[in-house]
Amino acid sequence: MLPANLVVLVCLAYVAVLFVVAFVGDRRARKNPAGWLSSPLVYTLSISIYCTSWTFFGSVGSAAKNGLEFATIYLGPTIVFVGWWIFLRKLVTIGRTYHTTSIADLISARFGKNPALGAMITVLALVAITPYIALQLKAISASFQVITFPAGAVAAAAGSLEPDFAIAFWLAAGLCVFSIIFGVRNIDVNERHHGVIAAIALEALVKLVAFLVVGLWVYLALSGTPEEMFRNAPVSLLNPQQSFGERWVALCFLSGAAVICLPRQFQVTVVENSSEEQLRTASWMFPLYLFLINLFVIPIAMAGLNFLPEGTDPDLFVLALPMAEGQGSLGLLAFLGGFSSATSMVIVSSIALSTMISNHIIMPIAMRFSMVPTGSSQNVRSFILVTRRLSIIFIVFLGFVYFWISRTSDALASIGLISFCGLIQPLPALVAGLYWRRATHGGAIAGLGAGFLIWCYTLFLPSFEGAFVLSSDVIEHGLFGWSWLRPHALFGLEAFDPLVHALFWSMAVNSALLIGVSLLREPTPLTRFQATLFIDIFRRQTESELGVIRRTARVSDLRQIADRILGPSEAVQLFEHGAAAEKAVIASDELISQVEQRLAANVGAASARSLVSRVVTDETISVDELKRLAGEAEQIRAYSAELERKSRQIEATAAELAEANERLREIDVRKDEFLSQVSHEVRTPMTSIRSFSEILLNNRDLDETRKLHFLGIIQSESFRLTRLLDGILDMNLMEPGMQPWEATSFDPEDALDQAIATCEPLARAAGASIIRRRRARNARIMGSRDQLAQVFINLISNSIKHNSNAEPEIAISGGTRKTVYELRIADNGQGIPERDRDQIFQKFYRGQQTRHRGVGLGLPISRQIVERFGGELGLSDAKIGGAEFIVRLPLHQP
Amino acid sequence: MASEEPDRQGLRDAATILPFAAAALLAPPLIWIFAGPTEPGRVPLIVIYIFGIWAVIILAAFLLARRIGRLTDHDPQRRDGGP
Repeated sequence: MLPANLVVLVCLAYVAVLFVVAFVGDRRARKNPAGWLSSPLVYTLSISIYCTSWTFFGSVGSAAKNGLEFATIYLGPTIVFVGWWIFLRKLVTIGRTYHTTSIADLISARFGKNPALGAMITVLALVAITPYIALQLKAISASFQVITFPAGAVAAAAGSLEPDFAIAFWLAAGLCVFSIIFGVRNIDVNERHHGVIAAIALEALVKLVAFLVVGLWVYLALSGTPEEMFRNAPVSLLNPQQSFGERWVALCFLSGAAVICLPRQFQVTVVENSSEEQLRTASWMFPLYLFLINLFVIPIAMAGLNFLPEGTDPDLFVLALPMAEGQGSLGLLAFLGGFSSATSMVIVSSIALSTMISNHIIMPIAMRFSMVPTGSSQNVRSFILVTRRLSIIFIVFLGFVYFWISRTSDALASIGLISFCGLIQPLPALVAGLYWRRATHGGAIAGLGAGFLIWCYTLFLPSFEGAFVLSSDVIEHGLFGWSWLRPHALFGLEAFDPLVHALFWSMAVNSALLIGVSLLREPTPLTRFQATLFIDIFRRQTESELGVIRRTARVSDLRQIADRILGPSEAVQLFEHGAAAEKAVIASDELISQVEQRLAANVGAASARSLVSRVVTDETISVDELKRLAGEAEQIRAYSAELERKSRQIEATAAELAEANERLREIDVRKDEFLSQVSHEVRTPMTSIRSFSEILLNNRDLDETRKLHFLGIIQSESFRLTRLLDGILDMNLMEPGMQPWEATSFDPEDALDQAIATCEPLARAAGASIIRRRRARNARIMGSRDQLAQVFINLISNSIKHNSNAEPEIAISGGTRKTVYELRIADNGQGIPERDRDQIFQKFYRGQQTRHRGVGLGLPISRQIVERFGGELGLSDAKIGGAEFIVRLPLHQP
Repeated sequence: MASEEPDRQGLRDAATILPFAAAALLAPPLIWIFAGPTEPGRVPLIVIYIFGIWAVIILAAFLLARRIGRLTDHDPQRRDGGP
């Protein structure tokens, strides 16, 4: 035995780790929703909550008693997942596209957002899951008792222990706390719970590793040769011919359906899904997980039969084997594995069910009787949160009560399959909903109701063996003594065992009623519309679909609903998208649909519809339009529209390319021109420098004044050359990605003063006057002061040089406007011709009538500098005679 | 693109056939072939058969998922999952 304190301590430490993982997962997901928590691996591990304690302990038990039958529970899901392309892909895409919150939500949304259907599925799930949760509580408390039993685990597993309700109670309380903290923290779009998923993924790893380690140890230490291993094997394993009858097929079908329909599976597979890649990976990785966790089931079962005394409960072999051989730490690991598998099931099931209860039972009732609190949005949201939290407590403790009540009977032992059979009753409606347009909500309700009743009567109630509702007399002889109503042989069908019998009748009647009742009446227009959306999920959606439902509602009313349910921040976001529409009084059809979809992501499609319906005054659904949409012609039209769109895109791209090419050519031509210009410019001073230096060299007897004159020319020509080269160099320096400058905050007027002072001699030489009109006060901008001064010098000297007026005059005025500093430099020259206006800022461009032979770099460099400041440099449009340049720079607000 | 088209069709067919093939291999009557009585001292054939087929199915699903993934990733328009 292990000391109870140690086991409790290890459990608490493990739970603390889970809390940390969930907490960190939540935080990381909020920071980066596309992080590793959305990876296909985590997604797959979360799906493996399919393996509960029923797998962990029960598989071995089943293998010891019934041979290979345990494998059916995993082969069914394997087939469903490797067949993802056919069914799961469609289901998951629909769930992702329409923000489905649960299986009840999906089915009710498909059948005209029918609230009754959602409520029915919720009740059914609650009834069928309660015993399943009880089974998990029992598994944990029993395994705890076994490994801590003072007389040794083997004795504990052999005798029938009185269940320990104290453990189960505290466990249930702990599970409630965890689920509430991480499962119902907020009402989230998509209802995704990253923290919970992170913890579940860790638990999935723990249970897999635990089972593999125990299995490997058993295989290596205890199994021996095949002969030794199988010496006590059950007949069903050694001579398995009988095992593969209708029960084998039925169990495969049952488990395959269950992996789709169980609320917790639907939660992790569909609701928590965020990309197709996740499902694609899970399609093989989840079967692989199932394969691995079953790999050692047979060796453990056989070793248990060989080494443990007769009468030991086979469901406890996983624990009892290591304990019997004195491997305490292995036993503890196995216990943790079972603990993980049970807790993760309860956590996800209770979260999924609480969403269903809140959205499909409490919300509709609250809205019907006006119990939803009015007033601030906080009230409504906390109302929803509180109902969900209470639902979790209700569900978990219902499981606890069930465990407590059923302590005397063996009802729990076989509850796994019984529960599965009840939970898959929505399957026919789900399949029909995804593939059959004629299916109606009437058919779905009739089928589901009948299936549920048959399941209760033929399987669930008889499982109490006369202790609950049905007496053992009724179970034996049928209701009212009518033998054709015997629960285990309905209509005299005695060939099957009770499970296959119940599965057959419930599925057969369920499907028959679904089809029959659906054919009686035409589906309602809304059902038809939803059918089109769901069935054609992979068809490209066309705009015309929005035109099917026409509704009228006031924007302010819609906004109020969105505020109350979604909260103010999200409502603002939602209404911002249609910023133009916000000013309108009447909301567009698109806006109404958008609001309804977002609400549906929180409270379910049916509740969202009834919320929106309250403010919608007029609704029509065009049936003709719907029929047209579903028709062949429309599909072709949509396809050809798509083709047209693509070819338009390609044409546009080609045009862009041609334009870019044209631009490149032009630049190339200009570059050539510029190069020849530059070589010419360089050549002229070079020629004079060369010829004057030759004169100086060859004629030593020149007089001093002439020598000095020639040297002066050489010097000034060299200066010209340097300036020219500096200009070219500046041009390159300003190219994007070149050296960063040191940005400081400074007053642009200071840079202007500096520039004017520099230009003063030039102005004096040209006889021009510089007039300062206005000064900006207290303007500060960010950047390099010298660079800005360079720009101003360039602009002012341009105005001086290119001014043809007899009395040249340059007017400069600065000012601030809101967050912009603006400087205008105007001259009274002949102005800039219309055709040059766009081009003077282009690199390598030189004006048509240039008298001063520059290199055409000043303005492009200036503009680049100004743009680097985040500002702009341009020409004023005003016709004032001369040219007016405007510099605008963003002000720096410290 | 054009040369990928038959490839894609083939993959789609394979993805559709795989679950049916798996179901057929794991259900009667095919499974009866391997469900004969076990000779003493041997691992039952049926155990080897079921786990072997199971592994083969997973391998096939893995290869298929990888190829479908490659096709989807190459073609950005299909990222939404449309057929």
